Amino acid sequence: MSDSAASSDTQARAASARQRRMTTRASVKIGEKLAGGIITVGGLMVIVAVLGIMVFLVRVVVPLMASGELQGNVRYQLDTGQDVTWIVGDEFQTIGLALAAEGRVIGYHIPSGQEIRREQWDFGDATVTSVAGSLGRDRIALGFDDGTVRFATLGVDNTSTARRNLPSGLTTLDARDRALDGRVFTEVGTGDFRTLEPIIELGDGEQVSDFAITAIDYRIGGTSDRPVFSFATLDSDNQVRVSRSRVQLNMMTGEETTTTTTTELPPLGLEPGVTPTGVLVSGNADRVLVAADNGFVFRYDLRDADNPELAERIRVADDGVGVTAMTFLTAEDALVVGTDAGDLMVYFRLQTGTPDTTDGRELVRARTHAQMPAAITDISEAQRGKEFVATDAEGNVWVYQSTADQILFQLQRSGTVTTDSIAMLFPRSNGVMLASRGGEVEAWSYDVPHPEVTLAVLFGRIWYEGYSEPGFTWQSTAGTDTVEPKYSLVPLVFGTFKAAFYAMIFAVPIALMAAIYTSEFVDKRVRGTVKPMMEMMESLPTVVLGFIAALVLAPLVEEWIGAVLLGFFALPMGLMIGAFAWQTLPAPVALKYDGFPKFTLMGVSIVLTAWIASRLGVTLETLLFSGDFKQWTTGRIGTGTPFMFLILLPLCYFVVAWGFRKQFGHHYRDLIDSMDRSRAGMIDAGRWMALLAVAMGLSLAVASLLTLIGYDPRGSFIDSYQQRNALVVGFIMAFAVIPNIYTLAEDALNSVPGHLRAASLACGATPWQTARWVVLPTAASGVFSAVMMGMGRAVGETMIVVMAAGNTPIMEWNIFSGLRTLSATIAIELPEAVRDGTNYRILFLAALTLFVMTFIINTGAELIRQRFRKRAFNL
Amino acid sequence: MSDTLEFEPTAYHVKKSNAGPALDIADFNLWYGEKQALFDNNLEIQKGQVTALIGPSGCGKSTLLRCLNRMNDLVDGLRIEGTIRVDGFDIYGKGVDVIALRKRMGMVFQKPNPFAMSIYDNITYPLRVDGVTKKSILDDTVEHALQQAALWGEVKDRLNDSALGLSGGQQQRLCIARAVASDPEVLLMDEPCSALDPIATARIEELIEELKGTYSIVMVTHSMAQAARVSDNTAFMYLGRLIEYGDTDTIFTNPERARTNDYVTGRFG
Ligand SMILES: Nc1ncnc2c1ncn2[C@@H]1O[C@H](COP(=O)(O)OP(=O)(O)OP(=O)(O)O)[C@@H](O)[C@H]1O
Ligand SMILES: [Mg+2]
Repeated sequence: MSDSAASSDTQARAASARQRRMTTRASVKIGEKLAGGIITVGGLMVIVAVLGIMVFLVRVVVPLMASGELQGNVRYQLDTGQDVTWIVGDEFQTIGLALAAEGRVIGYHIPSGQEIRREQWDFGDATVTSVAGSLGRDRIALGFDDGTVRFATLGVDNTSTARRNLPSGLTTLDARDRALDGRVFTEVGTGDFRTLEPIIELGDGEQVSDFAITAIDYRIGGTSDRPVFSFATLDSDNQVRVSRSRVQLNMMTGEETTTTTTTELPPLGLEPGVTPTGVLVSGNADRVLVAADNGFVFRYDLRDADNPELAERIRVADDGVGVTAMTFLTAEDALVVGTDAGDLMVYFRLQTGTPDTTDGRELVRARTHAQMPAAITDISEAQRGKEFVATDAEGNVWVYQSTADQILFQLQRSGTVTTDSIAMLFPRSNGVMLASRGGEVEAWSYDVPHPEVTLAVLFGRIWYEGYSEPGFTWQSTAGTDTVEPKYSLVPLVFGTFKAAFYAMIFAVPIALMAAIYTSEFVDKRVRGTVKPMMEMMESLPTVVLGFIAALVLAPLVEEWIGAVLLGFFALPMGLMIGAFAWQTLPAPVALKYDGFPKFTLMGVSIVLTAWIASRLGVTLETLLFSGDFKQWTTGRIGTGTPFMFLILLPLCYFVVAWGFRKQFGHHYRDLIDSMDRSRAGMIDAGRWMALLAVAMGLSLAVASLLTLIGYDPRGSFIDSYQQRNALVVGFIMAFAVIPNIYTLAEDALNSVPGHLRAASLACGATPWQTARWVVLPTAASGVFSAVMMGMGRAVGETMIVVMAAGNTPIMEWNIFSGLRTLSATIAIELPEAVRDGTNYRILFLAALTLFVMTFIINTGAELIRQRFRKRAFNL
Repeated sequence: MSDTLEFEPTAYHVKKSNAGPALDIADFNLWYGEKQALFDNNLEIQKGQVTALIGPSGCGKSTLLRCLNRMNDLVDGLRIEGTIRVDGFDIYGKGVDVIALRKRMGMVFQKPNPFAMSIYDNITYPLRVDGVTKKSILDDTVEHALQQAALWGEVKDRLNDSALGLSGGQQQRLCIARAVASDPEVLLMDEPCSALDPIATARIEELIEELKGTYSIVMVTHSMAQAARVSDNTAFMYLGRLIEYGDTDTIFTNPERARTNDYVTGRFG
């Protein structure tokens, strides 16, 4: 190789080296871009996922709050000829039936108004003066001007016809429906035809009074195979009667016989000029209510059928205002009253023990609904749910949801029409039909998907039927049709916090003590084993913990409650005694056995005290709780003193110890310093026992004093004992939460700069003093955020509470009662909830609430931690 | 390489104090795990005097200083041999109350490390851990300590402000005030001026000048000039060994060991 070749070679290499230095290789650039892109996409995906969950939850929840939407209305004139006294429509809003006062019945197609059926009932000379329907509206009772009452069926039968069986010669009513012989065929999705047919049957009559029947009410009670028909009548002589008809099947002949017994009720005792305006009877005919135009409602008590009583007379409207209409809501506990001033009020019959009524019950106003512009002319309740429709003298039609106290549908017609019309709600409460006396029919349909849900229902106090006062109630699955589901999230939020609170009571001290211990008192090796162990504990499936809590711990605690209570006091005391015993050992011995033997001794003393506690548990129960703790908690036996004594004992001890230090601290220290180790230990033990004795005395005195002034913890945070209770849940949930708190708190304590620790130790502080005065305050926000994180975990915890909390949605702090959390409710109820139903959406709202709660807690914790970090950097 | 392995014995020419030794370090060896950090150190710290510890980085000055109040105790795998005596008792002996020992030794660290508390609470901290709660005693101590640390004038109106609001130099003087607040016998200072500007350094040096006599001061420093200015005796350490210990003037003007000479004249280290 020549020189020049060599030099050009080096030149080339130098050049390429320079080149390499000046440009970045494409692959590096691409790699950089790619990595950046992937990281950005990954990060964005996380944010999108979280937001997506949020959006999803919100989207499911929002329809809960949606207000009504008018979907259509029709209006036409029927050829009734006479006054329309009754209308009824089927749940598909297809066939309507109108009854006129002199017996003409017209069946019509609701959407188009075409007449499909016409019938004439023979009432003789009599004219219908009042009509009442059973809850389903299909069975009616007619009151006549000659004092007779007749029964009839006026309803729509629903069957199905297969396409191939469809008769020919159908007439087309509209795009959807076809008719033949008064039947209406509607094609449904499956290819079959829904077939609706009016049932128009007139039954027998009965002479009830010599006067015209001015008002009537009709109920069907009893069982479906043994119905009891009850009706109450009011005649123009102001006489109220109740009749009960029983249908009995003769076993021999197979013949049905109806026996009717009529009872005349005691007189209303109205002043002259006062007219009764309405009558109501309960399903089993034990109650009759009469309204009058002087603003009074009269209540008869018929529980003793042979001996009816006028139990109550109550003014429900202001002076000079008359009651014009009234009705029961489905469960018959709520009475809706309308007045000629347009007021609509709901009264509950409550057992108040009042002496003003003969049966100790009274009607109490529970709600006042939005006032209508003119006098109420008619109120008609829904067949299901707590909706009702009210009409007023100016032709306004408003549909209310009573429990939620909201107006679902509002037809404002003041001034444009003046009618005296009758209204009805379609069975699904999704439409109203109105008929004027003159036979003009109007129908509206609207859609309020979840009429029973408002913010107030979810988060406020609601007075439900059958309850003696407004409250927060969760009861999402109602037992029967007439009981409405109750959706207050408050007890669930409360239960969530209660579980978290009791878990934190156990978890925080233990976790923080452990964190302080490993970060401040032991060398790295111990820390290196404890931390992974804690992390392993974190990975314990909570379903296993819940299982242990429910099936092992709960029965155990229940059986050994006395010992458990004693244990809370005995364990610290045992440890203290152990520590003092250790102190009395001579210094060389103590030093020699420091470490493992000392730990063993601690373990032994814990086991020993636990054993002693279990032995003494029964004695404690006998001594303090009259022998049976569970009985005692109910408040039936014993006083609150023993429990307050136990609760106050630690507090009193601190007070006494503090006082002692304040008063004699100096002298005592001098005394101790002047003695050798074991003597000082003994003296110290003596001092401790003396202090404990004084504390016990003080605690007893305070507890007795509290009892004297009438304070009893039972009924507040102590109440009747349930096996699955907050104590058990708190204890086991603490296991799930401790690792979280421990790990974060330990990190926070460890991140306190070592030079601060050194500074404190160099000042002659003990490790405990250093931890207490320097490390903890410096790490305070970090430790606090660790506690908050633990809280967040406890709030969201599901399996443990599902299994061990009893899931009773009650709102009391009682540590011995169960609870129901948001998460447990979701876990339990969601699998059963109908998709897009009210319960389903409310469970999603519960999830959203939980999400928001944990979000707030965690964000708070994070903010505090950031502040902490900033402060730590300043040090 | 050979000179790191062969060492001459320590050269001594100590200026003795009338009061005798405050600390007597004898045949002291120390290991961090397997690694030996101090080799056969023998020296007496004179009462009421300022003793400077000098030497190149990593030679064991801080290690030795931290041994004097057993701040090394928490280091894992630490092992020592030899004795350090205070008033005749061995601080590494059995049954020694370490807490009590530390109360006799104030310590000032390289970096100012006030607690995140008020100035007042910082200074009273050593008393409060002792259980002193009487306001009058605490007040007196604060004023006295701050005056000793030449900080009283600057902070007397803001005793309840956070100590973290002070400047670096003020913080270091506060730490000195905290160290002297509990009235210790010995003051241990590990490069107390390394984070300070020349003016603050001068104040601290003045302070050491004032405190000397009352306290026995052991000070680690990297500044030859500082050691020469403030100390009575100087100990020169090298790779864990004490090379020369004696009168400061002699160390800086006419050291007995060549290595000392090389170091103080800036030829290595
Ligand atoms: N905690 C420790 N664990 C292990 N080795 C340590 C520890 N502290 C110090 N050492 C080692 O001991 C030797 C002496 O360290 P030391 O901190 O005492 O040096 P120094 O003289 O104070 O140095 P500088 O002037 O840089 O502060 C060094 O080699 C160092 O690496
Ligand atoms: Mg150092």
